[in-house]
Amino acid sequence: MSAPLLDVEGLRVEFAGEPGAVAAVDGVSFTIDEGQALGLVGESGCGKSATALALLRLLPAGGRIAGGRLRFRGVDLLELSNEEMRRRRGREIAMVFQEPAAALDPLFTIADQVGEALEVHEGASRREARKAAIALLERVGIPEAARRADSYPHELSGGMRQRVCIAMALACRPALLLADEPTTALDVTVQAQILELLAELRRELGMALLLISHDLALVGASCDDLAVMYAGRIVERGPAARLLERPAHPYTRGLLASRPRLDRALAAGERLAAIPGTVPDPRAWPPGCRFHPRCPIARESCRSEVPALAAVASSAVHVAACPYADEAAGAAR
Amino acid sequence: MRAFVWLAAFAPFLAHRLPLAHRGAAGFDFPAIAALDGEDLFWLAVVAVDGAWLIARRARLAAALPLLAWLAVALAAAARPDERTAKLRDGPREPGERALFSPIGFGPEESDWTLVMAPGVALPLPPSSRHWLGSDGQGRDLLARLLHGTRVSLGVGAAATAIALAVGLMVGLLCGTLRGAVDLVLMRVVEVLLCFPHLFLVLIVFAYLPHSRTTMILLLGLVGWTTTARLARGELLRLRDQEFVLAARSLGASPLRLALRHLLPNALAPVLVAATFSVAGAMLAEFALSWLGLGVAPPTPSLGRILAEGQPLIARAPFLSLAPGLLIFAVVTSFNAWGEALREATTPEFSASRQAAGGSAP
Repeated sequence: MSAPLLDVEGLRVEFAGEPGAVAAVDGVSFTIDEGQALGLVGESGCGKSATALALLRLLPAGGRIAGGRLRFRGVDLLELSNEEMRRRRGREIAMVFQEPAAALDPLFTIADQVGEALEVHEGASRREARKAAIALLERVGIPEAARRADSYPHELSGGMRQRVCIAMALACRPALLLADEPTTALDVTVQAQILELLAELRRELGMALLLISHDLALVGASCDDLAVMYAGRIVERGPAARLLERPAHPYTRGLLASRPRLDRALAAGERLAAIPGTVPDPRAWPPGCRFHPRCPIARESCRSEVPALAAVASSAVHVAACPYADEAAGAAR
Repeated sequence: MRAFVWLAAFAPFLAHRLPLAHRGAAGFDFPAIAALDGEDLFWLAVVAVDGAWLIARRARLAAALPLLAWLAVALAAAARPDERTAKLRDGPREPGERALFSPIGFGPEESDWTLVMAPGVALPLPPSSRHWLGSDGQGRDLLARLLHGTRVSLGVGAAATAIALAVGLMVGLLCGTLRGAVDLVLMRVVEVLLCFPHLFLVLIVFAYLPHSRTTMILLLGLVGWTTTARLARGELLRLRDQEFVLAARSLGASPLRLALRHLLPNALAPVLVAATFSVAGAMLAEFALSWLGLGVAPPTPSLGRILAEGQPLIARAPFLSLAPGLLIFAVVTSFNAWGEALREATTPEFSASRQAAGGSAP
């Protein structure tokens, strides 16, 4: 098997805080192969976005990568100089953000912004960049792209803006696209279109995708693999279909159960299942398994022993960080 | 606003002691135009640029005037400098000699000697067909002085603001992008400067420097940059955390490109709006200084000086004080209105919502 495109090993991201540094991402490992789509799922505050920004080395002020290795095409991104890293951004790894309205510079036309990466990385002239930008805008489904190219971001709808952001990110045909909740700020009908567009472009360009979302099922439909994050750690990882079919970790099961379903009406008096409690404070992660205070099957040992990712039902690809995953999965059936 | 700037630019054509055109024994010459100096030409160039912009916006009628400015510049280049006195106006002429004067017919620094020396004439002269608004206490045409005074005051305000803007933007950029010790030190300097009321600071420093228009412009500019610097710094700090800046970085934009292409233009709009208001502020400071007798040196008119010169005569000729006062009010108000309009224009979302609402002014 060839080396994966991206190999993240033991990534640790800390934010400066009082009294000490807070680890928002604490020992996260995963790999993405060329052309593969990985869905990274979790509640807000679990470290998904910090993971994505760490991959670009663009953590906000106060944040720093405290440990781990980020190997991209065999090169550790953490050992690159700032300038070498900058040359990879946008050309090898690009990112689409959650708020398309905020991710576009209000003073420039969309053609200007889509062409920017080409000007930066490929030394394209403004005219060439504009031409390429119009083609890109057409490709991401902006109707009458040539006419719309001179529009300003505020003149477009939310879905159109996100298409522009995708076109921006794709301008240099990156090998890996990071999409941080790309559909969260959009209408439900538009969400599906954007995900469909991402899947299409991925097939077409052979690009790998890291799709970050809080919606397990939504991401499950458009990714090969899924990784579920909780409190700065990955708690379950596996092929999307299998993970959705047979969730092993109690947290993953809780996430799936707390989703309203259209195919099954709630019985009279039945309430939608919810995971009790809230995500713990990063300044005071619970000891042992970080999910134990909210876990329906927690035992005494969960309070002290940190569970490692282990194969679920002897699967080679499906792992979960819960020693009781197998029996819990059995009990749920 | 534009009206005042254009009036200021065309002041030499509207009020000049020399004739615009003259035919003498040696043929035609254009004394007033030949006497245009660098400052006059700069004003005309401003109007010409403004006019080119108007043409681009397809306001053809309004664009006709700046074409005159271009014409004047061309004429000035062709004309021979010729210092001629205003005797041509009333004095004996050679046979066949003709002179075309500007509409107002008098320069701002020129007393109407023909009338001043005439027996039984009391100064200031009352309004007449010769002096539309009358004259001041020394027999100088009031309208000509107001016109040129507006120009001097506008020039001082604009030049002082330009200096304040350049220094302020530079300091703001340094503070907002470098942060750290640079930011800390420069901002403390700004705070110390802001502790002094601007006018007093200027007065104190002015006491040690030669009184000239240039020193006044420099001083007003050098006390005015603090607000710009603070504003630019604040904007940059706000922008730094905006997602589009992060997005640009995620595309691989270099720090320099980020600063010049994304941060500065976005910070510029509010800074330019503030600069417009600061033109009005600098002009008010100039009025005050000139009124105190410190600003523009005597023969040169500025609105503040005209006001000061009218003061001793206020009982006999209140209009000599009223006219410059009203003009100061109008100019400052128009600059403030322009600032408002600029703010609307530089906020795309805002102008879009106005277009959607029918585009009428509120």
